Amino acid sequence: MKMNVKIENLLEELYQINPDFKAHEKTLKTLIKELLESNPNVEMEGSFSDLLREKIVHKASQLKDQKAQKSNFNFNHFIKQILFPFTGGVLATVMVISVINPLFETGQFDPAIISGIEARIAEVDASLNTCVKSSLTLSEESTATFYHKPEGLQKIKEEYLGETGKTIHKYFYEDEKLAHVIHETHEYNRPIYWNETKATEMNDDEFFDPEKTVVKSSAYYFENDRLIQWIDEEGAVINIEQDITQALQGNHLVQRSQALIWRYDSKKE
Amino acid sequence: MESKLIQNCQKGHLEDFTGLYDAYSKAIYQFIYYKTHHRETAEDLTSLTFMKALKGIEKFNSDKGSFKSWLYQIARNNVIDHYRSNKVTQNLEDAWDLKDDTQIERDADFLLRIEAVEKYMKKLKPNQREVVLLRVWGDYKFREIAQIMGKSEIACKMSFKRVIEKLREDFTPFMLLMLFIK
Repeated sequence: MKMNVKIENLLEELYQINPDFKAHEKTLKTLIKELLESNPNVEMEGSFSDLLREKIVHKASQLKDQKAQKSNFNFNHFIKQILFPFTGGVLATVMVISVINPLFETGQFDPAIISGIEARIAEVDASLNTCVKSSLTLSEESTATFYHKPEGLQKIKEEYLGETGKTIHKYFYEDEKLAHVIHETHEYNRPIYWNETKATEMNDDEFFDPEKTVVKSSAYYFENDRLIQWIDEEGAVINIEQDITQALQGNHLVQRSQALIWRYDSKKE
Repeated sequence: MESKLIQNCQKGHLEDFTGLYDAYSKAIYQFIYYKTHHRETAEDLTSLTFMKALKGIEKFNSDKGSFKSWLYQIARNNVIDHYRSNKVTQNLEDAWDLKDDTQIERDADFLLRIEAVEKYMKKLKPNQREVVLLRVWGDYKFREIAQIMGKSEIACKMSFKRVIEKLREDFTPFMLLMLFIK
């Protein structure tokens, strides 16, 4: 819209609010013109807009996962703490199996498989220097590093760097299949930018100290894209047959790993 | 369309939030920029605004106001918090009230641009400046300004009227001086 039209529109609007303004038309015209001419017309830079969009996509996915885990936990809690006492163990078991059956099978896991996977992880980590390493920027704060050998993908390290901590997912593969995932959360004592100067300025007696970072780690074991074991961050082995959260979490990690591979492949093309 | 996106997000389909980001990111960025006068600060606070909205969308209640108003309220609070976190600026709500000798960064090209009106704008209260900037710079209709500010349309019009009256009173001697010089 042209400047004159804008001025006229604004004046007209002002006269409708207060007809007395008409007596000061000349001053108002100049005033409005000054205001309009001062408009900096700022635009968000495209690169920033794209980065923020990507960051939102990433955060949305993280929140969605957290929510799914929480609701699954609640459902589990409901089954174990409320449904069992009221309807009897047998009925509840039947219900649980019927609900979660598509998500995982209830067979016993073989300890030999787990030790096989652990041996595989050690082998991959020992040979990372011989892998072809390539990085992929997922968002402003997250990257994924892919380790390939001629026989196929060995490992992906996905890292999300925040101001108050970082999360790392390490995916290990055997014969192109996901075999193991280590999930680490690093919680900083203070935000990373909270240096001594900032702390003093804000009357805080503590500043960011990497030595004080709390690291928690969980380990997931897979066979044929199915979670067969989860060791939580307390080091406790979860009974996979009694907890559907694990099945859903396993499902999610498989999908997450596939999404990373898909992004890597589409970037390569 | 917007209400559908919000409903989907509230049901857990947070990937739909990008639709809301696409619809409002430019306007929110501008709104924050007009209050901070600094590109990097505006980028940081825009980012913070959308992250907070994403995390809190579950709690958004359309009975209490529009999504637009809610989003702008988050942005407004972020700007206020931004100044409150700094001892020098803790009593400010936006950059218009910064003193000339302040060390707080503001974009030089922006300051040059607003030179002519800055002294008048400084005399207004932050919410009065908001009305005038949204109407004149943002080219929003009063209906939209009412949504953004969470007030009635008539209250926004009255506020605009009072602002223009005040600006006119301050502006008249300046204009007469200019005419005299010419």
